[in-house]
Amino acid sequence: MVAETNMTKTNTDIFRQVHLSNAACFVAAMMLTASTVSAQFYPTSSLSSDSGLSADTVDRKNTKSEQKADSQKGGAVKIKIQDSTVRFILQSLAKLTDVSLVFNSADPRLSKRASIDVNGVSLMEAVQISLRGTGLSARRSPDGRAVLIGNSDRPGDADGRAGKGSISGVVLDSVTGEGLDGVSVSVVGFPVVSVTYANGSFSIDSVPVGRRQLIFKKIGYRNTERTVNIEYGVNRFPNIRLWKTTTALSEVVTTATGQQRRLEVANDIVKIDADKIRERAPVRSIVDIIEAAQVPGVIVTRGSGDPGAATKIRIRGLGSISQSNDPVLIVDGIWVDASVRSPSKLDDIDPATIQSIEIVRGPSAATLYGQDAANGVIVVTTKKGGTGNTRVSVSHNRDWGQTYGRLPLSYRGIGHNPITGIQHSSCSVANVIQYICVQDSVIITDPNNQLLLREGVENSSKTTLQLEGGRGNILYALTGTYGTTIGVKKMAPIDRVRLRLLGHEIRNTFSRPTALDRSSINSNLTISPKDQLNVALVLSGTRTLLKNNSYNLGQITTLSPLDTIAFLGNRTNHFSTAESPTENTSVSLSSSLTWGVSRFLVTGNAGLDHVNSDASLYTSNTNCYLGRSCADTVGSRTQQNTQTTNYSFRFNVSNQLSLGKFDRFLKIRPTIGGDLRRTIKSNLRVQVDDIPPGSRSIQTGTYVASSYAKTPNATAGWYLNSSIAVFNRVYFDIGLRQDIGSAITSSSGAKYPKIGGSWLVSDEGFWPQNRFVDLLRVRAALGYSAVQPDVQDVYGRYRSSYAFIDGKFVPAAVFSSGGNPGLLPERAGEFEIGADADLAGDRIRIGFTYAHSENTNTLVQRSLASSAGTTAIRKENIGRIRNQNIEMTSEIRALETDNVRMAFNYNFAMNRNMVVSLGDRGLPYPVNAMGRVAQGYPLASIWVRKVLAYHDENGDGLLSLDEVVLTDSAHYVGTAQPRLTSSFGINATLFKRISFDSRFAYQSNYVKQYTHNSGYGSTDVNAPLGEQAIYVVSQLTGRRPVTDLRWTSASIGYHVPGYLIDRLRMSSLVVSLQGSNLGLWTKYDGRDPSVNGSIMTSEISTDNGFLTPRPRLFVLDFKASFK
Amino acid sequence: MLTSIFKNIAITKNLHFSLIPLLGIMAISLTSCSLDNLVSVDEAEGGLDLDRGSIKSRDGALKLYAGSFYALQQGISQTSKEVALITDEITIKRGISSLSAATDSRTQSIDKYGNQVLTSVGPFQYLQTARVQAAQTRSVLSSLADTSLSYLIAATYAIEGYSTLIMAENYCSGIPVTTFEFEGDLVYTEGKTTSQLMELAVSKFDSSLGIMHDSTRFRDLAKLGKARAFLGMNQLDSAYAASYDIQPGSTFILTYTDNLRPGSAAVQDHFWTSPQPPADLNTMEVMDREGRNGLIWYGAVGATDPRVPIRDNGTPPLNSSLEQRKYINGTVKFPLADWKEASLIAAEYYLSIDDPRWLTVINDLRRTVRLADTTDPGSIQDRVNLLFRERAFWFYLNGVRLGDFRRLVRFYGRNANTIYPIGPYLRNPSGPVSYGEAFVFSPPTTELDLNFKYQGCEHGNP
Repeated sequence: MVAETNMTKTNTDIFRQVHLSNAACFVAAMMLTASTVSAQFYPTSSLSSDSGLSADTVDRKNTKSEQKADSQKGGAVKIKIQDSTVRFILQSLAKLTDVSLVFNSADPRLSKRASIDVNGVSLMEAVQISLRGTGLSARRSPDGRAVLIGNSDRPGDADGRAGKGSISGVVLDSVTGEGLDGVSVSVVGFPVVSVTYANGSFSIDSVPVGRRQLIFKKIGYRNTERTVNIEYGVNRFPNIRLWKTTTALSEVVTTATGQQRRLEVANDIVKIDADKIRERAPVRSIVDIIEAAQVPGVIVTRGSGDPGAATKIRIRGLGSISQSNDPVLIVDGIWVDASVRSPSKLDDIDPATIQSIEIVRGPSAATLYGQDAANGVIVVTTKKGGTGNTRVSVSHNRDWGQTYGRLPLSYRGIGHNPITGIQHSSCSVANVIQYICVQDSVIITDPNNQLLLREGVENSSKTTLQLEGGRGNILYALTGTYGTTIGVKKMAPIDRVRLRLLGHEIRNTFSRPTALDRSSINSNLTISPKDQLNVALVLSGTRTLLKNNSYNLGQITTLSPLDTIAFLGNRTNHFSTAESPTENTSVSLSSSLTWGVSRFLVTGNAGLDHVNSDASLYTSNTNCYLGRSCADTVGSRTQQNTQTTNYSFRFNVSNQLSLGKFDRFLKIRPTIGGDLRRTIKSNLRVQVDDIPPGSRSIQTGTYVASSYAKTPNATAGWYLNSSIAVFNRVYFDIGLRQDIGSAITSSSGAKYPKIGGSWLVSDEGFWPQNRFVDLLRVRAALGYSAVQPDVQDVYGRYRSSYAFIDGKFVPAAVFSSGGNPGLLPERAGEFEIGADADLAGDRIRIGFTYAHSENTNTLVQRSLASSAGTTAIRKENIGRIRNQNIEMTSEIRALETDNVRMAFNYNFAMNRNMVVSLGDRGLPYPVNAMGRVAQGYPLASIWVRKVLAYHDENGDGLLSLDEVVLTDSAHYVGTAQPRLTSSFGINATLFKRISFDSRFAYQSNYVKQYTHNSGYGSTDVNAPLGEQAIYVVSQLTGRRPVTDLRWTSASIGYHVPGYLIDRLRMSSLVVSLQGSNLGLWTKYDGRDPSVNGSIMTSEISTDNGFLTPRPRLFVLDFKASFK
Repeated sequence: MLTSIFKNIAITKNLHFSLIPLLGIMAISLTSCSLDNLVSVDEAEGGLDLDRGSIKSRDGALKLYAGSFYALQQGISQTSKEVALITDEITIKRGISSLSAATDSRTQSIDKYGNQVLTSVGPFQYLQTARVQAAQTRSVLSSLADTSLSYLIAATYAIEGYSTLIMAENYCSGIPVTTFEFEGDLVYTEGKTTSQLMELAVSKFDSSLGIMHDSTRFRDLAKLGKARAFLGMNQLDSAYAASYDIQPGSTFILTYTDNLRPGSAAVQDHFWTSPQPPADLNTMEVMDREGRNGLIWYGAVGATDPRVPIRDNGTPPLNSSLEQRKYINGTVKFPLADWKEASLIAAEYYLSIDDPRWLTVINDLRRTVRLADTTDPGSIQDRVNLLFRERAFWFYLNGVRLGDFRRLVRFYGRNANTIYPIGPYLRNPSGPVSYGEAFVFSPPTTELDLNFKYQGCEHGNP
């Protein structure tokens, strides 16, 4: 039994001094060595013995069992013998450790009296201590199987060996003073590396004597160097203290199986510190945080710059043709609806409550998150309370925003019928060509036919109150936020005059027609009833009211706008209104459990997320003439209620395996887990007419139509995963997940394997010890994930109807959509490889990732032939999509003094997306006017017919479509998704009080679909032919290649000094001025290439010229914390 | 090497402590509950679509049957409109759609390579839906433990038979009959010739007749369908044998449209309804002058023949605007299978074997509507003309006439130009053009694009 203990020690020593050229060989050699050594140890009985062994000379407390136990605990020799012969001590060590000590027992020098009292040292150290003063020394036998004791090594020994010594010591945390496990200790110039034990102790044998430089490394701690003079024999080293550093690899990230150090994860998971983002950029929503973080490979798109506009997040390109490309959103462990909508559900998460956001990019990282995770996962963790008295913090900010650029001019021709003379309020070039009208004049309008363009200053304010604290086993945090934003759209002054002339009240809802109110409350309660047990409850609710109104003052039918007086007197116009508020109410409840039992860790999450959305459109549809109030009008209303509820449940059981003697260098943590998610979506739509004057109620109108649909869906999965750490520098992650769902039964349930490795190369012995590279890790991962089909795609559908049978109507079900029971989930496989390095004393950090993903079984919508009984779309697993991504991050801390700190960062991402296959026939199909999905091209590709020539053949000065020569077929002109994105930032802190930050973003190689249908060339008959040509074919050719550089944010903040804070009885006060979207440099002739008018329906980005661009925002922010 | 590792692991007590519960949890997870139940949902609920669970019930089966019946009714009524246009039973007055004009002027056709662009998707689609859904309904009915609806299985065969028959009578030779099983897979097929379709229809009717029916109504439906299919194969003896015992008065009724169904806006069908206020809504009128072989109904019989009720609405400019009064709105019944057809099949059979009863049968029928007896014109050709004229009057606007045109060409050796309307087509808004040469209808061109087994019709001849 003693031998068993020592074998561990001996093997470990050997292992700890191995160096190999790569990790795989390293592991293989480790296993080989272990088996060899354990099989060939000399039996204890073959040792020389000394009859002088006496119980009296051995410390009574050190019984074998105790020694063994001690060895097992500390992993080193513990022995105490006083005033005995060296021979006896050696024999005791041999027995204690069961290692062969080969010596000449007749050597008189072994009769010398000596004492030893060591604990936690290696056998070699203990032997060397025993031999002090004897002139003898110990070394391992050439085959490493025994310890040979003989005359001291000296330079020029017969075997050519130089004099050598051993080094031992303890490495401690500089703050806590606790021993540090897993610290890599290497001797510069020699390929030996040792790793500290759990108590921080280490030892290295056979180090040539002389001045040597030792390097101590541990992830999360600053690399430390010491120069030491190695002497012959045993060299004890003073305690080494390591200081913590902020290397990103040491941070903890959330994975599907729990939390892990980023170093151990084979994928590049980006963790965003929400507070840091809030310090440097205006933040109104979670999307703002993600965008401001400028994560490579993540592209945020907005529907417009209006309040509450829908937002879309795409991670590492597009992988799905017919299914969602939205990433999965998990907040405090539960699934949250992240579909694109306006106002966005994502924005219901109060950014003030967010602790961190993690972006899990690519299927290989998202494997264990299950179905739908192929597009990436966004993991949001909200703030927990901290121990201590209740702390109150208040933050208030005011925003001012203004759009840049002006709305494009919109033209409208005024004319008359050539025969009847009847006035035409809309007389375009095309109308003139068709002899519908003769144009009399042209006026400039906005898209709503109003006279002037108008955009004002966006106004926004937000106040947040946070309470947090903790007592005993309870932590709590409570956050409440109220904010309101009034969009840039503004009623034109001339319209105000017209309304007054018409006798109408000018309500705010029309003078500032777009606005958003949002109030939210979030509570977080964490209870730890006993050690290792932690229960957390998070309850949050948000109410969002988006107002989006419009009005129509009637078309100007007769006069030039320059004739203002006459225009104002035009009283034949009516005033109709459209009020379309949307109110979202979100409720989210999340509970989580963390329970440590022995070596087990049980974690679980359960909760629900519900959003109720009421959208209505009220239209007044009767003219309001002069003297007649609009209250007299009769209206119609469409009311739509949509509800989405996600129930989620997840559990993990992980176990830190005890591997006995392998524990020192091998750690295995298997995890078994599972999850279940049920989603119910419902949609109720009611339409009524004839709502009487003065009422908006749907009950007062006449029923026109209604519809209702409810769509439940459920998915479940279980997984096994094993995290393996070898020598604390090589990490493997192997897992397998199986999914089923409402659309995927267990018989066809898909399995998704993953394997990944992370290797801290710079900790290997062979790594050249230079001072420039502090840390280098390489990583590779291969994994699969999925996007599941919809339940409705699997089963045939039958539309409710009636049949007239036997003289009466009876309910009927008519085959409306053929399902495909053989559908499989879209399978996304990804290989990711990358490296991270900290250089120049942690001053430079760089990361590089290449990811190659293939989505196979991609669901392609195929129309059915009539003979199938239905021509509805049917999905088939016939597509194949490829994404290739290159991502790079870098940060340079250029200056770090007590008073000045300055850092730069640069990120870069490139995406190459391609539809590899659309099935056996490979037929492309259209997405919209110019969007197309075609084999061999990007998924969101834009195709246009090119203008070859135009000529006014009939000489009428007007250009019709048949006078423009276009190519016969459309040609690919680019993709709507930016292929290349990069960002640059600078951050500085002066005197620890003033902070400055500025960021820029660059996007290129993408194309927007730009159409403007009421332009000069399409309206004015006197426009040059070239202008006319642009508009005649604008629906066919209106695309714009885009490259843009945006000044995304800048901020300057001031931390109020302590003496002032104290007077105010605060703990901190920060005042900052922040700006976002401060500049845009682009040749794009629309206003803002980053907004997409088709965000709700398509990946093809469209712009009709009148989308509100993202406003340039300035925010004055006060944040105060009270003691 | 690995053996040693595992051996060392195995002797570690803690390891046992670690793995056993893990394995236990795994086993419990995998065996103690059915995972599929966890994720089972009804895929849709609500008013738009029916959820899958209820479809597989007795009530769902009834709805499915009604749905297939509905599709057949839609398919036949729409086909009948097309037939009425191409055979000059009716013509366009105004509000011309390109599709209706193409049918009316016999320019809607398709070549083998699918170059024709004008094809009417609606009727073909509904006929295919009826056929496919009837088979799906049968699958659900068969799966029910409740056998009280088994009689409907016979009806589903009859629906399949009729939808196949109507396509065979009116469409080109080469129609695919794709299968799409209930909750099963889709299997496209190649086109079947007209004869193959007729044979297929016969087999469906035989299947229907092989099952016990609740009433003679269903039996007569299948018998008449089978007889019509034999007629389409010129097997007059078999046609007679299939339908001779259908009793007078037996009729299986359809309606033309369902646009008055509960919950729907009562949209008037401008094609069929007689003028409602405002009177000029009607876009179709009875053929009177157009086409050399056009049926000059009004001129021939005025408004006196009760089988072809016509009213002169007197609204120029194009003509006197003859309104049909047979089907004045969407819910007026018309017979899908009628004992009179059995009688005329018998007459045709008697005529083929030179049995004088052929005229007796015709006159017996005429007497039912108080028409005077007709006389034997003497020659075989004139007898055939008389018989088919009687059929034209009896089955006016019932979608039978195109099939009769084709039979006259194929089985009675008539030249198509003596049967189909030819000459100038006056309704063209840009001036008169000549009638085209479309003899039959074609599947929509999308069938060529989407059904990879389909290569187009074998021919578009009569």
